[in-house]
Amino acid sequence: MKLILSLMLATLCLFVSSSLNAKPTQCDPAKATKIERSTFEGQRFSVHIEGPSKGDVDDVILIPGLASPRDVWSTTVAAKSGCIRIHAVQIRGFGDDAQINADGPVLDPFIKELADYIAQHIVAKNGKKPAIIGHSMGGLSALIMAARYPDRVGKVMVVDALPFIGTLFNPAATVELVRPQAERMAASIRSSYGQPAPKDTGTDPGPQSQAGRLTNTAEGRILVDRWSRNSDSRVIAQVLLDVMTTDLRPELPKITAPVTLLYAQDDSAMTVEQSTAAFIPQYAGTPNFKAVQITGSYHFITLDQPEKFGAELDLFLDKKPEGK
Amino acid sequence: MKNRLKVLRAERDWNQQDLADALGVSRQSVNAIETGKYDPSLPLAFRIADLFGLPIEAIFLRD
Repeated sequence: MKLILSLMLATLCLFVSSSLNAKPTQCDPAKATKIERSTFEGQRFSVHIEGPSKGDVDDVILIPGLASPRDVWSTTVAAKSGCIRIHAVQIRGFGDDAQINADGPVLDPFIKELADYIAQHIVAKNGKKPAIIGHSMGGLSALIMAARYPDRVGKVMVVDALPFIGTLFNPAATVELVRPQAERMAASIRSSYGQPAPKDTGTDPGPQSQAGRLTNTAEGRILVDRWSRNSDSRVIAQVLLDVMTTDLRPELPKITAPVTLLYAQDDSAMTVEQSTAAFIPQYAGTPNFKAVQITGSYHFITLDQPEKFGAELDLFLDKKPEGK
Repeated sequence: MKNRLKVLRAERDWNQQDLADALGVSRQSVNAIETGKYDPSLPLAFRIADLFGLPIEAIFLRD
């Protein structure tokens, strides 16, 4: 149960990135122009926008996963905000007040509102389709966006996520088979709302902790443990249920944007072959698909292998969006 | 040069901007130091050590 929950948490993070033209994105922070910052307060999520104040720059939307705040992308923002305009999304309840997300489905309304945000604040303003990068549940959201709103997505990077998480437990899983288990897990998480929890000690919870199954570094475990602690368990429960009962595989062929998948592998968790077998077949039918295995990493690739992630991000940002 | 800045930050719940503000440098500089792309000057290394209340060698490690 604990392992399953860890896997679920792991597969629910999101990161959306938006990019425009193919041009070099190698970023020299020392040469960066003045950086402009603003915020957007939506119903389901908020956005921190940060990028060069001048020039024709690409928009990149970053969406964290389940129980993760936008801080999961802090290294990416620091490294890139001098060269691209970053829209760092945070689902309400994952580090701030749950507001409207406290009750009822979250994933679908979140996707719809994000689609509106992209249309109004990126496409209408800049005339270009953004790229979407999502970690875990964020990766699933990025795929959903690309399948249902192809006119608003230039390219997609999925960081360690699946179009249907049920296949992690059983390759023959269906939404209806998974639903009872998903509802039990959601009820269990929801019941912890308002209960006293151990305090954040600011120390490494160790490799045997729940966070220790999601990230393989000391700083990663401290952060993931804190992020989970700071998230509203009602929202975690609901988004977990929403994700577990979403099977996007039949919609993958509708995606027109190029999709890059980064998927994690660490010898202490699974072999190279097992990791590949868990991810690649689930993406069958995705038209313009590229997958890269990131070794030495647990689920939080940005925390565990920041340099490998950064290198793949550069390749992705330089990639031509669909139709260019 | 390897360093423990990320762990020390995480323990204190500081983001890169918090550390940058405390040191009077840019967030990009903090990122570059953390990722080993840039070694801090000796005065900056002492400021970092003072901020965390640790000796320099408990923060920066020989390769």
